[in-house]
Amino acid sequence: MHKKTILELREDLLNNKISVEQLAIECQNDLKQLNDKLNAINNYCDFQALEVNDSLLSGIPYVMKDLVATKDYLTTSSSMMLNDFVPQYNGTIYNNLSNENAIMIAKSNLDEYGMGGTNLNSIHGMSCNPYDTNKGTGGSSGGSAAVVAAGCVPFALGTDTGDSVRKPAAYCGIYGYKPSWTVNSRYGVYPYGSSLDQPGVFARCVDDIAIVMEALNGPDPLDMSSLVHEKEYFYKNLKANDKPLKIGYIKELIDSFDNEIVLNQFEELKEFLSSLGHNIIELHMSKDLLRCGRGVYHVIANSEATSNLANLTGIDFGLQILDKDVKQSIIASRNKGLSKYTKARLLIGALSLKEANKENYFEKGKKIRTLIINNFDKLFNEVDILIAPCANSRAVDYKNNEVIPMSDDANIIAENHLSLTNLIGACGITIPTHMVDGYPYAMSFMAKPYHDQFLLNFAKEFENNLLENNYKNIISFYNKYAEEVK
Amino acid sequence: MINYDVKVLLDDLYLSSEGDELEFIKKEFENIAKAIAHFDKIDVTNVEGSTWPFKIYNNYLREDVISHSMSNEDTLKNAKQVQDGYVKYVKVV
Repeated sequence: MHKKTILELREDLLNNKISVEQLAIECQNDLKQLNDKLNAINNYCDFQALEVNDSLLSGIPYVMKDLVATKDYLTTSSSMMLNDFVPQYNGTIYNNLSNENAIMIAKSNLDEYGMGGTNLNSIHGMSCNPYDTNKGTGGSSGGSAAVVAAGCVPFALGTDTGDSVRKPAAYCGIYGYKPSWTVNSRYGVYPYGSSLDQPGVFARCVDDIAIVMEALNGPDPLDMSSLVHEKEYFYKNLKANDKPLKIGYIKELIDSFDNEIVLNQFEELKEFLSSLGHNIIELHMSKDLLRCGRGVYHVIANSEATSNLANLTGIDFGLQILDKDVKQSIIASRNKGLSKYTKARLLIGALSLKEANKENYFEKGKKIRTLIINNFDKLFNEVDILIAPCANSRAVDYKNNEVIPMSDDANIIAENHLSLTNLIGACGITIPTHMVDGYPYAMSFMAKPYHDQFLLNFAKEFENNLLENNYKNIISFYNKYAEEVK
Repeated sequence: MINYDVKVLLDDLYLSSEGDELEFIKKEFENIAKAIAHFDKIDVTNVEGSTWPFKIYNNYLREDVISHSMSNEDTLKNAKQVQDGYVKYVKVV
C-alpha cells in the first residue's frame, strides 16, 4: 500500500516511480483486499489513466461517498431504493475533481441518504473501523473515513449535514473538514437537509485537505446557493498561522462531557494551545439552549428530508413494486426501499410539519436556530476559534452491542454538539490528537462562516508544531494510518 | 409528552409499517422526540425563525438561457417500464 500524501504521490508520479494506471490499480486492489474487513466500498469504478499535468491532483486516486451522482456509475446511497440507480449526470464536485485529472476508483458505504451517525443504516451493513473492525466508523460518511484511515487512498469525499465527515474522521484517526455552508456546490449530492448539507474532505494532513478543497470549491450555476462567494485558493494561500489568536471554549458544553479521558485530553489541548502563544478564553452559553441543539437539528434536517426524499416513489426510477393503484404502488415501493432508520427520521419530519404541530416544532425549531446563530455570533465577536472534544467516547463496538454509559447531558449535548456548526453554517475541522489503548480521539476546531482559509491556516500551525514535538499525550497524526487492520 | 398517531404520519409519507419494524420506528422516533421536548424551556417571543444559517442574496435576474438539459433517452434510462417515450406505470384513471 502506498500510504502517502497527495504531494508524495505526485512526486512518485513525476519521477516515474509509478505510472498513473499502476497507482490507481494498486490502490483499487488495496481496497478490494481490505474490504472484506472494512465493508467500506459499495462499488468499484472503471477509470481512465489520465495524464499528470500541472494540477496537484492529476493522477491521484480517491474514493467518493456513494451519495454523489456520477454519470454511468451506480450511485445507490446504500439504499435498497436506489440499488440499481445509474445517474445520467455528474455532481459538480465530481466534475471539479475530474477537471483536475483526479481518479475516482470506488464509491463508499454510508448511512442511507446520509441519515445516521453510525453507518448501521446501510443495506450493506456498517463500515468497520480500521483500528478495530468490531468498532464502527461513525457515520454517515463511514466508508470514506475507513479507506483513508487504512491508507488505501490519500483522500476521500464525504458529506456533512450534522457531523457526518468530522465524527467518522475523529473515530478513525484522520482529519475531517466541513467547509462553510455553500462553499462547495451541492449539485448532484443527494439532498438530506438542504440548509445544512455540505460536501467535505477526509485526508491525513492539512495540505491534502487544502489541495482538495481548492479543487472542489467555487460558484456553480447549478447550485444557486454556491453563487454567493468567489472561488477560493485554499492551498495556494495556505500559510501556517503565526499570530496569537483568541481561542474559546464554551464552559457549559465542556461541562456536559463526563468521560475523564476526554476531559483530560481537552485540558492538555488548552495547555498546548496556550504554549503556542494563544489566549484561551472561557465562554458561556445557556445549557438549555445547548440541550436544544439535537432537537433543532432533527426537526430541521428531517423536515427538509421529507420533502427531499418525496421523489423516491419508484415511478420513474428506483425500486418499483406494483400494487392495485398508484398510491399503493408507491407505498409498497417506499416500504421495501427505505430502511427502518430512514422511516423513523422521516416520521420526525412529518410530525414537525403537521399543521397541528408546525408552530411548536418546526417553526419553534427555526426560532431556536436563530437564537443559536445569534449566540455564536456573539461568541465569535470575542474569539477567533472555538474548540471542543469531538465526542464523549471513542468509536463504539457495535458488533458486540456495546453501549457506552453516559449522562443525559453527555448524550444530548456532548455527543451532538458538532451539528451546531451546521446550524450556523460555519466551517469546522476535526484533528486527531490522542491515542488511548490503540484507539484515536480527536478535537474539534470551528471558525465562523466563510473563514475557511483562516481555519485551515490555523490547522496548519497546529500540525506543524506537533510535527516538531509531541505535547504531553498529544501526538502528531500527520499521514498516520492504521498499520494493521484487524 | 408529544402526541401523535404514527399510522397517520406514515400515511402522510406514503409509508406503512408493522410488527418489529414499527416497534423499532416508534422507539427511534420517541428517542428523537425526547430531544425536541427540550424546546419547552426556550422562550422565543419576538424571535424570527431562520430558514438558512445566514442570509444569501442570490436572486439574480437574467435572460433565460437553455444551458442544461437531459435527453429523453437519458431521462428514461432508469425507468422500469417505458412506452412511446414515456414512463409506463399503474393506470391512474
